[in-house]
Amino acid sequence: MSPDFESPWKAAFSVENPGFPQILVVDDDFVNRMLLREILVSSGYEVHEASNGYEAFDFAKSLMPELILLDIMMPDIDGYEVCKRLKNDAQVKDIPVIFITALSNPADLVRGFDVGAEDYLSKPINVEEVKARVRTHLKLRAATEKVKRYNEELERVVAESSKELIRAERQAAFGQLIQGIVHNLRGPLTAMRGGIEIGQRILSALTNAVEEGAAPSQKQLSKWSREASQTLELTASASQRLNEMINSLMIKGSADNKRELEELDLNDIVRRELDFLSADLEFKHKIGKEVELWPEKLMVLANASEVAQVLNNLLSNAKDAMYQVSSPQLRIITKCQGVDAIMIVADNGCGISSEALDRLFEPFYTTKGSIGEGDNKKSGLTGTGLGLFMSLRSIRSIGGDIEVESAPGQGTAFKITIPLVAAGK
Amino acid sequence: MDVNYKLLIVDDDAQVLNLLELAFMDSPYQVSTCNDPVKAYQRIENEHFDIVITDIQMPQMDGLTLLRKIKNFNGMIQVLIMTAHMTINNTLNAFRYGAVDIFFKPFENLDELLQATDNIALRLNRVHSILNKLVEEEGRNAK
Repeated sequence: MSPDFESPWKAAFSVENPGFPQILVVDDDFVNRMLLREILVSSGYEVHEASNGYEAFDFAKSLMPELILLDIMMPDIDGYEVCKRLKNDAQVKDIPVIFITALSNPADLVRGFDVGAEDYLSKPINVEEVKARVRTHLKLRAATEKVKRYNEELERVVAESSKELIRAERQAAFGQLIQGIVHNLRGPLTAMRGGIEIGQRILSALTNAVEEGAAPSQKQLSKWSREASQTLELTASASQRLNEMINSLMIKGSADNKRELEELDLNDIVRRELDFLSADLEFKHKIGKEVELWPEKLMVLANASEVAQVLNNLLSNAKDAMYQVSSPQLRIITKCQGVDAIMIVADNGCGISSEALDRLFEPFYTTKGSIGEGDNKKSGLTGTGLGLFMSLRSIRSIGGDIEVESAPGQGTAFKITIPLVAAGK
Repeated sequence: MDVNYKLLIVDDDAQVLNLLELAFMDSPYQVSTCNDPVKAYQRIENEHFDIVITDIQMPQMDGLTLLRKIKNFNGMIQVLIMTAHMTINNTLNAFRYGAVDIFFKPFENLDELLQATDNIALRLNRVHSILNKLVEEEGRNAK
């Protein structure tokens, strides 16, 4: 039966001795344990002993040895069962197990490996063999631990820097957005300010005439009146345009602030995003657009700003892909397919090679701005490799998926599937 | 003196064109406007213009590209640049490619733009009179 370890034993065994690798020897036979202890201690290891399977399991967990030598033939629970339990326990499963067996049947060896043992030693015990096997496995274990620690560190760094990159990407996108907005606002502002200046010019000419007591000719008066009305008309229409721009920015801004899921029409998002991207003059004028929206509403349960972000991402990728195409052409389609809403964004750009296609949704994978690729360098396109990764994550979080089809030189089509909200709701 | 110079204003923003038409209303120049730099360049090749005022950021063609094409086609055409993007690069490149002056939108003062245009006209007057004199002399010498 399982011994109770609320005893001095535990404390005694828990003594940490970082200088010597700790090895747990499990054998019901006292003589065998003594023999192995002799061999291992003489090689500079610290040895702990367990005389049955229960002890073995408990000691392994409390001591966390670097290696376990495990006898197969034991009463109560045999070595196979102990090994199986060790390998099923998350805490100790990585501790290598070498089983010790007098069995010479290959089937027994196979069984030992089946339950997860790393190696075996055969009885009768050969001193040099024990030393060699133990040394090898400790080395292997040390190396594995090192790799594991590196990986953990790497994962931590990657998680950290991806947060950083996402933030940087958002900031860059925001900066670009602001620049576009400012450029757009300056147009009507120029017309307004200039219009006011011309109005003042006309007024001061009129004032001068009045002050000088001159009677302007009918012709002069009608010229001033015509110019004044033209100027006011321009100023009014410029201020109206300015107001419209600000209004649409406000709508976009308030949509971006909502984080919760809501029922929304996919067509609406496409329309709004296309409208918004028209702030980008190159996008507005240079790229041919073919938009086929499903005639009925496509209601999906999603976060408006996230879906818009995904679409924005695909559209700007498409724009980048068509950077060198003489007549860039974009197709945006929404439709209903069974219980799903479908959105397709297709371009006739440079396309994606099959190798790149396999890795497209991996985080940090980017085809833009890779060093040594002349065209990309010239284009000044840069990517963090997070756009599609984040897009896929965001679409999958609402039960959808993104698929891609592409042929180099012919273009790329992204297909987004999002489940429709059940009709009648 | 002949100051009836032909002026072409290029901007993709119709309201800005409208404004400049009004601003140049009382000027001695023959003002034309165009909202597409590609078409503007075609006109420059086919008609005669003395002065071009162009925006930089336009969808069909960059204003600085238009400037270089104009200067390459006929270096005598004087070009004024206007832009809503006040950057060091835009400013340096405008002068590097041969612009006479640069103005930022929205205009601080429309009169400055008119003044700059008048200065160009004066300079063109001077250059034209020098050229006329030289041509006359050459004609006399040839006899």
